[in-house]
Amino acid sequence: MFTTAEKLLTTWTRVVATRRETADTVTLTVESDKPFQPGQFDMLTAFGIGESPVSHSGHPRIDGVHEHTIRDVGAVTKALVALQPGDTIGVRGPYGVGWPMADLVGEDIVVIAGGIGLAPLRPVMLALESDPGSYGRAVLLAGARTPSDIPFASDLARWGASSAIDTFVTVDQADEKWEGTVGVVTRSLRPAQVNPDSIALMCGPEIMTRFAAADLLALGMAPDRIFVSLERNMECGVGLCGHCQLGPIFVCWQGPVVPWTVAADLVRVPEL
Amino acid sequence: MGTKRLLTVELSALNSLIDLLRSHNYVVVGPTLRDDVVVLDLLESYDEELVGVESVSGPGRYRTQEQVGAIFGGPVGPMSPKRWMSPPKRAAWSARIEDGHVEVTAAPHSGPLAYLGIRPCDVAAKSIFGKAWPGHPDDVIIVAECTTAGETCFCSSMGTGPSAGEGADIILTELGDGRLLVRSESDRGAVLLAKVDGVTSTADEIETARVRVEAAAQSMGRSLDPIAAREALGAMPDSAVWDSVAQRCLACTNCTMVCPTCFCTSISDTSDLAGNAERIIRWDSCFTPGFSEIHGGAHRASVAARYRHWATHKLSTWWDQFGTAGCVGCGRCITWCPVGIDITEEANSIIKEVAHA
Amino acid sequence: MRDLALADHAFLEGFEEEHLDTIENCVAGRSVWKQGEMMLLRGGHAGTCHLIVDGTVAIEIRSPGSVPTIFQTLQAGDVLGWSWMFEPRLWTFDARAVTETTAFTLDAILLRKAIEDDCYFGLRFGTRMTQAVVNRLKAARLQVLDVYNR
Repeated sequence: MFTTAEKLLTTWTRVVATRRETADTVTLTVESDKPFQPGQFDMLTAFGIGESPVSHSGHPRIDGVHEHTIRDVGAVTKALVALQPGDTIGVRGPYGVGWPMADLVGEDIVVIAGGIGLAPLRPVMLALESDPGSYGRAVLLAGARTPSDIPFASDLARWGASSAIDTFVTVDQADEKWEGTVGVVTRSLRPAQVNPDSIALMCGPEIMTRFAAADLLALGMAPDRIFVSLERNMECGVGLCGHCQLGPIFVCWQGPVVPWTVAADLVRVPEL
Repeated sequence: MGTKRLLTVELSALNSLIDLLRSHNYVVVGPTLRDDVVVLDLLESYDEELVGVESVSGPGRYRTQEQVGAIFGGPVGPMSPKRWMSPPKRAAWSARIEDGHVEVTAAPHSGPLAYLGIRPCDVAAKSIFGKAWPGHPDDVIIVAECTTAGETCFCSSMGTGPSAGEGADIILTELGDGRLLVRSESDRGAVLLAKVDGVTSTADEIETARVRVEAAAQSMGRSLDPIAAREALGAMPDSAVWDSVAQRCLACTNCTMVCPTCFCTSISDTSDLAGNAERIIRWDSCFTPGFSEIHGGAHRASVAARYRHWATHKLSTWWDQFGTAGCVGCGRCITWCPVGIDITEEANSIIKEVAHA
Repeated sequence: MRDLALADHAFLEGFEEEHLDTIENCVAGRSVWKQGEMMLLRGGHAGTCHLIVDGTVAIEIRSPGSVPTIFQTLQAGDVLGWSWMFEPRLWTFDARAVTETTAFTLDAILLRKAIEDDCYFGLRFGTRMTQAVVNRLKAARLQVLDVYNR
């Protein structure tokens, strides 16, 4: 009778490595060989504590491991970031609609990431980095609160030094040691000379993505070429629990990535 | 399909059906009186007490009173098939960890159920609820058409009752003289009825059944146009109606608990010090502030937003998700709302607002 | 012949020829600041307006006993300094060249006179300046919301 409950069964695997990104954010490398699309997420379980949706943040190639980047914001994520190599972790997924990877081929791409919003976009950046010939010009605008809150600092440094990805990092606030840009993340749209025919991928705080979308539209970008990863309370990942509903969509399986043509009306209405 | 059977039977035939189903290892669930409330519970025989009891409902009001009436008439009780398809609290799995190795035990599968005497609105609701949490494919449904309506019923306008629609194996209709008209609607139903004592129904009996169900339809005081509601609620997230409801709504979650299609659940893990853990599935409600919580706070902080979400989901966005309305017109949310908020009244206000815009 | 780079400055994009001439006449010179040099000091007399050509400029504020906090950086195409428009014509924040910075420096007295002499030019210049102020106000509001920490 209760076959649906089986969708909540998790696969138990191991953490093989951990990397601290910022004071409250950790990347776990876990053993898993299930293929995923950039932008998809897994439900991760800390045994006996609970489950949390976490984006794939690693390279989408199949190499026996997945990376997940977790910010410590509650009981479950606190337990997840505390895991050590060798520890047991529950994994089910991947879930949701990812970034439109096939559509990106041959196109100029602008990626706008805020804070830990870079995590679900990192697989895209890593894919672009390994195969720059398949894509047009790639621009990454990454924002964070302060320089010490920037995740994936070594990736950003590498991308910044490479010619494959034009990388612009912006922080809200800095001290005098910071030589980069201070302001809002879209501050760099003009200096980056973004092509309005690019495909835009955005993930970050909803207020940030709303303003970023407005700036992209003002640049002349078509709304169906702007994609955003939405965040809502996802408890089951498979459209059963109802928590992530946003208007007509279940963010967990009809998102998290949706085109701006879908997102615009959904994020317009407060508390929808 | 085998021979369609149409018989007139005595009430005792219900017990023959229950015995038959039980002999085929079915667990039989149907209406029974408990603490002065008609609930859906396990049946070994039909509840004779129901013969002398009449249920009455109104906004914020439900009573059973001693009066000879229809067994399968008046408003439905608070419990619907969802109580049996997905109980309020259950384990998805349990597990034990030892030296980092996890041993998982999946929750056992339950066998099929036979529902005897559930109403047409609940048959429709079972199918809708089943899109999220399916019942067993071998469930047997013996539906009882309603020969009287409750004050909060509006199934007629929603197209789910009081006559039986699709999805039943057998349809029962009370003739008002202690006898029932029974019809098989599936092979399984025909096989069952072949073993029940009865006489071939006369044309008069068939007409009587039709007229009684039609009278129940005509007596419904509430109505809602599902198509108009779909359009209006989908278009009016900014309506003033939501704030007006929020003045009365206690966000108590009753409407979502009694709703036969509300499928939202919360999923949480528990553990003990000995290395055991369990994943628990519980009914949840979009009326709790925590329901929409993302780190930093609840997405739907206001009661107005929570009611809007619930009503708009039921009547509008459900169509986008599942191709039907999420409301069957059973009226339970009106009956069990402690302040008597009436979804038909609120939705009709918004329909009017759109029409006059 | 006008300095071509002034007409090309993003802040002046779309300005009419005669207005560009007017601005040309207000240019006090091209300024260069070495890396780390202070460009404007809080409380100092606001007698200039800078159109940044190259480099990165930090607008910052210093509180006793702590390092300066940068809340905005400016770069090529941005305008630096609007306190010259309003009494008491004193800079509100500090500006520091994060990297070597070049700018067209406009003389505030000449600019104010040009605005008073030609209301249409004044409207155009004032509107452009307001747009810059609005953009920065919008940015400041977003930054103060601390969205990444939500």
